Amino acid sequence: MKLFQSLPENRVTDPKVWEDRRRLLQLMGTGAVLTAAPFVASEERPSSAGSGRMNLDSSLRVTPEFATTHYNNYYEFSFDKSEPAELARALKTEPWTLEVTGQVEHPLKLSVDDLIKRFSPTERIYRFRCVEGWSAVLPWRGIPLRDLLLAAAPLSSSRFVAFTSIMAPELMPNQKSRKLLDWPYREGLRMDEALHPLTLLATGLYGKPLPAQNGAPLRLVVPWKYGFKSIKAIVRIEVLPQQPLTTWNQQAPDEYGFYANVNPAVPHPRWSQATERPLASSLHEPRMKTQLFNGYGDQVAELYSGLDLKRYF
Amino acid sequence: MPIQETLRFLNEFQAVLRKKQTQIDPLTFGITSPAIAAMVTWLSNLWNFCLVLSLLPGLYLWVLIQFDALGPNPVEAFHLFTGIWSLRFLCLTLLITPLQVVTSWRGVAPFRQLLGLTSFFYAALHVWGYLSIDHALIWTTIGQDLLETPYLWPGLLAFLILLLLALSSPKQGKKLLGKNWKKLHRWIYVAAVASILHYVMQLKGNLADPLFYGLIIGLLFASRIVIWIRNRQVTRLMIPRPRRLGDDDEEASGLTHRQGRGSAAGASKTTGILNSRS
Repeated sequence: MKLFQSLPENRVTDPKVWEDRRRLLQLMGTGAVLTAAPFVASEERPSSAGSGRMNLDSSLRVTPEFATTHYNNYYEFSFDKSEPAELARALKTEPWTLEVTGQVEHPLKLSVDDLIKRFSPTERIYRFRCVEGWSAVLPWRGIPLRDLLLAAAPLSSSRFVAFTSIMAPELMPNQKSRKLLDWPYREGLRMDEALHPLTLLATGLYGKPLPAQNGAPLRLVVPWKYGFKSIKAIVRIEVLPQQPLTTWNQQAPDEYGFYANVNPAVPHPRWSQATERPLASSLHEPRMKTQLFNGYGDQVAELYSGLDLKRYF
Repeated sequence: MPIQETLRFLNEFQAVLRKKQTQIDPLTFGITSPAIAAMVTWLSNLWNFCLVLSLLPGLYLWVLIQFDALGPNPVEAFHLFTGIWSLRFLCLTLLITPLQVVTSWRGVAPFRQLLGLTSFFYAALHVWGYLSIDHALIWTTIGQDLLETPYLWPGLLAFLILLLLALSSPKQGKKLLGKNWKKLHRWIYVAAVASILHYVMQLKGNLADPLFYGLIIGLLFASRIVIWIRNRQVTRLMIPRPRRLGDDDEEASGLTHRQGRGSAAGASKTTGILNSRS
């Protein structure tokens, strides 16, 4: 009896997990390869990390840094994409405390420095696809969210992970005037999505600390989902037994789903998602075809086997 | 003295507006170079001046393209630039008639035509940018995009209306269509509403910009309704008794009326002007 009580709840393996053990091992293997992917600084030179399995094919051209840092949807500051570059400087990102709470065995409270020291950051070049129809290729640095979550040790009852952005109405004009969205910004993932090796808690971009307008000091990066899932300036991560309410989904549930997986076959109610416009592409380049799961299908499609992607968009 | 010269220029300009003089005399400003003088003379014609003004945004866009200065998303910037200028010139086109009523300025038709054609010009660039720049004329993709993107539908409607209006805009078109010309050109209201809708539908929630233009268009519509009601009231004043069905000898009643009352002459004159303005 005593032995049973001393066994931590999260150590009890969910049958679904050991059934899919082979799949998980496969995924972890992919993560290791990705970690080893060389970071390409030059925007012109194609990535040499080409490998069909990783889907970071050699045609990936990193988006110029200026475009990435001057084209930001950061509605807390402005509805104009060019303005956060200037306005977000007001946000003080030091000191910053990240809280990991909820259904975990070891709740955590740590600074960004602690986070970087404790979990070794890796470099990842990911495609980024916005629900509005533009895209980019971005060289992130960050820690796999998986590492952080496993350190906090989610309980077996946990099914979802909720993320909350900073609430700073004094610094964020549209929070102060309560414009458009229900602030603070909130997002969420299913536990298996959060534990996926591709899911990153980003701390840097272009080999530098994350710029304020790109979500400093900590942001989520889920490369197979539309950009609005990749919440910026995270202060709290909460492990939950049920699906959390998320900001855009609450705002317009028929337009922005909880899953928000990139899918060219499921149009937004007001516009097509079949193609995308890469940032900084010239007037001579046509739009690109959008790929299912943003091109990461061979790594994430299994998470959604049997799920009707049209219904759970 | 620059102040004196400015005053002289304003006087000259006023004279042009009053049609006392059709052009400013370059010699007034001591311009002796024949080329510059010819240019000043040409520009001092208000219509020519407006033509140059209406092409300035396009020139600016061309400069931005040449200097690769359209920002992080050049294609989107091209769309937004041409779209917004088409809408702005559409608003200006609709502004002309109320302006005519307020200022009693005659001879606005060529200016209204110029502004309308300019709106069409930017709309055409906008559509060409969508088809050719964004989609490289790949018709299968364009077809799918048109089917899946409802916000394109009111935009397309607005463009088709502007296209029809532009085609029927020359004098020959006016002659050919006769009374129907005016009816056809009332569709500009539909084009205005459709373009606002096209603007609103593509945004994720912040509607301040399209609402601003929507408000302007709303005010311009309201001014037309006011003019229309005033016209009707003036017309009613002229008619001594309510007309019944079958009472269709209009001319006769008009005659009786004009002979009957002294004030009617004034009223009918007002009506005439208002009608010509509508």
